[in-house]
Amino acid sequence: MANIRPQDMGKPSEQLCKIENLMPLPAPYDKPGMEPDFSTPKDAWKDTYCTSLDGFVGNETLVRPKTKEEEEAMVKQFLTGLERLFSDETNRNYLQPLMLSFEYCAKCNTCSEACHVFKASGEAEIYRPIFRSEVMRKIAKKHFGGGGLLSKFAGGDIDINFETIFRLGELAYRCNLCRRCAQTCPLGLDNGLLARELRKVFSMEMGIAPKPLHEKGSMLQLKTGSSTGITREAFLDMIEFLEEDIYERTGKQYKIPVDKKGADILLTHNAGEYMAWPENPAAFAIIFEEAGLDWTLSSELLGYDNVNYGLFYDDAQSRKSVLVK
Amino acid sequence: MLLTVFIYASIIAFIGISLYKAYQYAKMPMHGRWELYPVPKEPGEKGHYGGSYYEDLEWWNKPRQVSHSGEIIDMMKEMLFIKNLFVNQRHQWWLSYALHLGIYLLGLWTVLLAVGAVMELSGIPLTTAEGVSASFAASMVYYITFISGSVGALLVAFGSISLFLKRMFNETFSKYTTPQEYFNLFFIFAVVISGLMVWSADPGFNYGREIMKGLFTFSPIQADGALTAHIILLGVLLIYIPQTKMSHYVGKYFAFHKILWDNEPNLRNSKMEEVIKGAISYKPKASWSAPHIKPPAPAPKDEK
Repeated sequence: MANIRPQDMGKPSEQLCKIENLMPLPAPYDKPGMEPDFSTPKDAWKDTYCTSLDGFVGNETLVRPKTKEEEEAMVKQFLTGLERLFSDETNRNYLQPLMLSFEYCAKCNTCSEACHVFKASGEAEIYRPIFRSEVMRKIAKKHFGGGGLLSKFAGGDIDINFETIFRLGELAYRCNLCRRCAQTCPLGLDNGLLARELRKVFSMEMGIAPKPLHEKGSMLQLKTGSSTGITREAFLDMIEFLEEDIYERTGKQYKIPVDKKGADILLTHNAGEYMAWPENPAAFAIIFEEAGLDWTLSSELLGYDNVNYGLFYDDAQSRKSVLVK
Repeated sequence: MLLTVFIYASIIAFIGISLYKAYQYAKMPMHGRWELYPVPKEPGEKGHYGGSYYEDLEWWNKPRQVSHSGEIIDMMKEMLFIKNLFVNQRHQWWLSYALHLGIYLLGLWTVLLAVGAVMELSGIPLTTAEGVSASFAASMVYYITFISGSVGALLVAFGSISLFLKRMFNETFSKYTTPQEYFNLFFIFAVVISGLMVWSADPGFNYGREIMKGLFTFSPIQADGALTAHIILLGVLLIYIPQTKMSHYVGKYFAFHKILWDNEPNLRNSKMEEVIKGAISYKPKASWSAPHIKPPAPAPKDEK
């Protein structure tokens, strides 16, 4: 669909937007053959997940309902969640920032130039920071305003149907909450915050949140104490492995300092690095050792895993994660 | 006399509804920390490069340093010059700043009309049968009123209609503009045009000072059809503005001072500690429904 407007979120279309003009990657990936593989979405996903936004699936728990009744129930659940978002009983922690960003946007579009998702997508309209926010505003104005002439006058001119809500569940995850938009906003408003508020409706009301954040993120953290499931012993094993790996690759024997008392620098990595990208902590170790710095890692839980996945999508989970610490 | 009462009512409504809006935001529950660096009240270089007290060793044992001047300077840059728009979207700034500068100049014009009216009521006329008064103070008030009023009105007219047209004809802007947003800009334009029509018959704004005198002495205002229409339009605009997002003069304060720039630490025995204790002791009367928040009730046991 060309020339997309926020009102088009609920329009029937197999795929609202095709991402075709991705920004060229920076060096060294701009050389022929250097560009990483880009796997196209599988056709079978269409039946199970929401591919009707941009063809991609970022939220695998957002599953296409089997019946019309289930679709209607999903819309109803979303609207109940929206009401909870605007309530000072259920959204005490974020009501004030939500209301400000909801109410005062002048749509001056300054944020678009600051958004790397929008720019890198070749300026796909659905990724414009105010697109998602405006869809949310239109739904809320229609739902709370009754859908009459006055609410249309204020901008509540959107179909609140299953497709609108389903696509919004994906669109809420086309933002990495970097808040560059808020940094440039002349009114100090925050489209990242609104994206997060939408994620809260899906997660806290409908139980829909991407597995890496929820099931394998905050839930695992609440169960084992660590989002990666790494215990202290496993962490110490990992450090030993890193030392051996560095030796094999460079021929240099480093002793990575752990729990060194009185060190100048306590280095804390993102916990996922140890599991998924151990070369990153290894690179830090080499640089810090070669620079002769007085540094240490910590084998305490807060020292090697202080992530709070709840911050990305769910207030209840973020509060619980803090309590675990 | 009705016009006098209406003007008072619209001014009171503008101030009253704006204050009520501020009160509504101020009484909202304490929100989670959501500051965004750089925070200009951080002293010295920290306020510029995005640092904070967290960089200091044992910051919790040191006296909290806050640069009020840094905060005020940044605030003034934003209020007086719309700095963020100037830096990040210059094309839009020219139009938006014309509108806002025009409003500021009309604010100054209103004050000077009041000053002129008080002077005339005190026996210091701004104009005589020969023209502008020879008195330095009186002529200064007369000319600055003339410049601020005329330039302000022209800027507001240009800003409002150019923003209106941009929203209409720029493909991106038109997608996101609601009917109300078009109406708001056009309403401002219509009010200024009605004002410019009245002004064209009396470029020295003597009618403005007469209105002020009527307000100060609570006496009837002499107004022809054009002036009556302008007063009514302006009054309705004043009542309307604080009920819309044009009241961003209220919202902007909270967005910057209470969210983006609020990084007050929670120290022992501090005021913040009290606020947080109060906030966490609140027991919400409702909750969300997802299974990880409200686990489904266990199925009733089959009692046979």
